[in-house]
Amino acid sequence: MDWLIMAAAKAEPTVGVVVLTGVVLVFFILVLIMFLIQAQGKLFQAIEQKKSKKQTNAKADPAPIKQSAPIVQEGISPEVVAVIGAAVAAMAPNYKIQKIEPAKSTSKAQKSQWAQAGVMENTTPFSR
Amino acid sequence: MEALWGTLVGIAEKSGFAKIADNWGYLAMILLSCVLLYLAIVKKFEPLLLLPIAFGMLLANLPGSNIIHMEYFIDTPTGHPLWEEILNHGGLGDLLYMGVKLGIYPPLIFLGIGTMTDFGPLISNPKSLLLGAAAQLGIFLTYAGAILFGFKGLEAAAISIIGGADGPTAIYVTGRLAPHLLGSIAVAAYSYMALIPAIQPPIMRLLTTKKERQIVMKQLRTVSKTEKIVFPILCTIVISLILPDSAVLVGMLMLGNLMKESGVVERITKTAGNELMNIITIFLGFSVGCTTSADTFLRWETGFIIALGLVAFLVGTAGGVLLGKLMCWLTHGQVNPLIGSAGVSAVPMAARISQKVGQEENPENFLLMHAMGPNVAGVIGSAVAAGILINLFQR
Repeated sequence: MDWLIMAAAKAEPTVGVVVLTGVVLVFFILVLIMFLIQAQGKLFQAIEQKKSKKQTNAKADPAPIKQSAPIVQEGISPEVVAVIGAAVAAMAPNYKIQKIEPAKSTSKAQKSQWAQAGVMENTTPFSR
Repeated sequence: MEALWGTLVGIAEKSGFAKIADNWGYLAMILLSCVLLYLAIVKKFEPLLLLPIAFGMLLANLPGSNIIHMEYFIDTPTGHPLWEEILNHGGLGDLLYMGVKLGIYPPLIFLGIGTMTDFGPLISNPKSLLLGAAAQLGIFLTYAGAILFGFKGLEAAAISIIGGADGPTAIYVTGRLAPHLLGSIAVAAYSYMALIPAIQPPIMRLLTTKKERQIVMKQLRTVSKTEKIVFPILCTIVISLILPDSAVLVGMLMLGNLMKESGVVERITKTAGNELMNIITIFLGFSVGCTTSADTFLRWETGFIIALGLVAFLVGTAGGVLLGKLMCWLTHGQVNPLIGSAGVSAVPMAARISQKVGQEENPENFLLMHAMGPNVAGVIGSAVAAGILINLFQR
């Protein structure tokens, strides 16, 4: 009986057997690899999700950030500070007010001679 | 004077010109080698392999060069190579051909290919493996065609592997099953691989509708480094246990890939992908070219092999596209069938063709990374198919 099995094993397979075996086996092996990769992908994604959940839980209750109040010069009323703050928040929300102080007055005594001459020239009436 | 004349006549009679006059086949092969050199250098048809193949063909067909003796390898009385003759009287081609005969070069080339392959698109979309499998239909249907043409089983199996569009795999299988057809099959395989940009697009357009070609696929998920490291190990174990004859090719491919993905062996990864691969490419191409002598190449079988090679490529492309259409229908339009044609393992040319044909219909459609999945799956698929053929036919 052994010689029959050996003869059958060595005999060249028929065309149909080769085509069918080849196509079925290629698909079988690659489909198996496909399922294994899908399972591997799901496993690693589940591990990644667990890791990221742990990290987000640790970051869930952060300490409140202390906002430092702007330095306001004496003499400026709280209503003016509120108006300035509202204007800055409306125009530039990312900006943070650090200091509020009046603009420096520009008296004639503080200007240089040249600066005064420039002001005179630009503000003199046309009828002159 | 007579002695001098006699000496000159003696030299002339032993010269290559006299032998060409006896067998005009040598001249035809010399001209063919020049045509292949032109295609490799000017038209850039797979020059890395076609140039050494063509030059090996040239040297082997210059009579009297004694660069190779195929009678030492084929139809020997013992069935094995004549080792003593090779070592004592062999030429350079004989010694380099040992790497082909013993199946050393193709696995080492696969090692280098593995270092240059990214399996990320495949891992992120494992269904690409189905398209890689479908493209191997070209191999098995070509086997049936070769039998119809009158080839024996071993020869038909070697010819059919052209459909895998993988040069090293074709050389590996042919070297084992039908070494006397090695030259014809290698020339056919590499020529058709270079002609893929001309062969595939008409089949792709014929089998798909305009609407299907315009399908934009969803972005692929990112793949972690751990997945990319586990993949080659898993593939090697599973495939080698089911089909041990594929172990060499698949194993070396996955070894190269693991070396690259691990990131801990950069030095040897660079060597495998550059210096080693370049050396083996030279040896492989040259020795395969040397096997294409006038006696073995200028036969009716060579014409049939070239015709069957074309059939293999066409059927492989069609198989991949048709399964792509089926997947498109089953997923309600989420898969663009064009990526199915990339299942033939000509990496990355076939994926680029899918990208190009897709962009003709929709310039904003980027199918390249989606097509790389089936493309690298085809490399695995053709290695598996090679293992199946060797398992069925090797004595």
